[in-house]
Amino acid sequence: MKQQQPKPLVLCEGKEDLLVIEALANHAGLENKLGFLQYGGKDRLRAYLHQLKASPEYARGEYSKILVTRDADLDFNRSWDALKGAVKEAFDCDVGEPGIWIKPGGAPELAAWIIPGPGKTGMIETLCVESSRTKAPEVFDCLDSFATCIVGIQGVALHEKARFEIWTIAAQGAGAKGRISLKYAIPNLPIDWNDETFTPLKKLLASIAT
Amino acid sequence: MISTLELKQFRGLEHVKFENLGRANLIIGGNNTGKTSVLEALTVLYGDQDQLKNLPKTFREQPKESEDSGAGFWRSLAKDEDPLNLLIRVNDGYVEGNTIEAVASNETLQFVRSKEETSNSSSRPVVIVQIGPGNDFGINRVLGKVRLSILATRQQDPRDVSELFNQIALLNPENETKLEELLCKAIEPRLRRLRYARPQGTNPHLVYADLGKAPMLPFTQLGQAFARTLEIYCKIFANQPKIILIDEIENGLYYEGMEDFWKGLMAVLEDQDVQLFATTHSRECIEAAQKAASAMGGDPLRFLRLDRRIDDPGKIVATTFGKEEMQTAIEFNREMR
Repeated sequence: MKQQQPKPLVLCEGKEDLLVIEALANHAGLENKLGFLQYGGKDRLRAYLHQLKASPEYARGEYSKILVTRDADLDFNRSWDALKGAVKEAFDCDVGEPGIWIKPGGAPELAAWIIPGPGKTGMIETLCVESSRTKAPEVFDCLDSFATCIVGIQGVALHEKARFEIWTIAAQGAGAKGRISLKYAIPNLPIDWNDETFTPLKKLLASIAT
Repeated sequence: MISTLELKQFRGLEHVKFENLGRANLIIGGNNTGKTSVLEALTVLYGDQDQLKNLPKTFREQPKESEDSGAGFWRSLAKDEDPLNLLIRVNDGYVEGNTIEAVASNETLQFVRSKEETSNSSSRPVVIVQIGPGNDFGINRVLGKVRLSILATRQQDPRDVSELFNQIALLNPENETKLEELLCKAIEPRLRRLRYARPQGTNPHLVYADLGKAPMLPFTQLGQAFARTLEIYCKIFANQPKIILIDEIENGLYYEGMEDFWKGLMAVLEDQDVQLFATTHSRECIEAAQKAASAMGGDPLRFLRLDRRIDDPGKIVATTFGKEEMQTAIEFNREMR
């Protein structure tokens, strides 16, 4: 009987995070080398980690390493503390610093990571937009003007996610059906996967696969 | 109640430990991971003379003359060749000691119970199994304080269930009413009363159900779920055990009735101060137990899962978790069996 091999797992905050991080991993040559799961938003993280630890896959040793990610949103430190706390509560271990692998007794190696990166605020959408500015500045001239216009009309700034969504729709051309789906948008977006904003996360993903 | 259960070198289990056990403990896991072995270990700990004598065949279908139906079962109880490594340890409020170990001498397998970490601990034998020659074996059980009830996979003879029902009113007439109310709520809302009877021209005595229309019907005509539930309730009310073991608890239960079945069962367990250990393969049964536990409040349910490690398929690991973890898994459509 062929023995199953343990696989590294990346836990993502939501569907968008999963799609982008998986695409990044594929661009880094890690296709099919990592598993991805999403935990349905930061408020679900604690419950999800407890469930993961109780899952048959975890007990059978199917995960060689687990990377837990979440968005920084408006406060990096607060998000990092929340992430660390959730990991500690579920796995009874301290992850220390972002991206540093630790090996708790009897468990797979663990690391945690805040998106867009250490000390930064924002989310996965921030990372995508930042990486694409240089590659497709004309798109952002248009998008930024539109966002400024909306602020002028409504008196409030567009949420980062809304701006990202408009961008994904605008970048997809004429196809009507998949236009609001990030899954279909990713191949058409001018994301520069080699941009340095992705480098720390890409390195971290590569370190899971080894 | 038993709060922890640890098994070493028992049947196919090298070393597993279940902690934080609950009122209702549902043992789950893949094929051949040792679910039934957990029930067998509890029988060795708490079973009476007859339960121990029948243990080789209680949870496993064996040909009559099979080696495993007799002495072979006891010979193979220890996972490795040295039965001295076998250990079953529990924390409970029932017995003086909390560790049971095997002590072997030639053809005798002796289990002794000892109190852990006490300077003047005195070990005393609780079960002595004389093995062989051939397939023969003898059991000498030192009387235990804990009553154990066992329900195997197959359903009991309806006459035996009826006899159990007949004992309930004698022990406590209120319990008969309670049982009827629970059955009415959980399984059969038309039920008005149950009677132990032998109508003219019939044989033998059976439990008859009054559903509001004459004539009363024998309980065997009310479906497998009703029969299975009545059997379990009768075991609890008539035998008044502290622990009940049920192998493949979903047997005879249809999906729609499972949640109600669990609600009724958990209510009886709480009411009668009984702890349940049951095995199941059924995802529907697991989800029904989860829903029933969530609806009832409190924290009565634990899932005890056994898994085979992929890096060492000979090694089985134990995981204990509660309704929150199961609820999250259901929400994310994650398999937890």
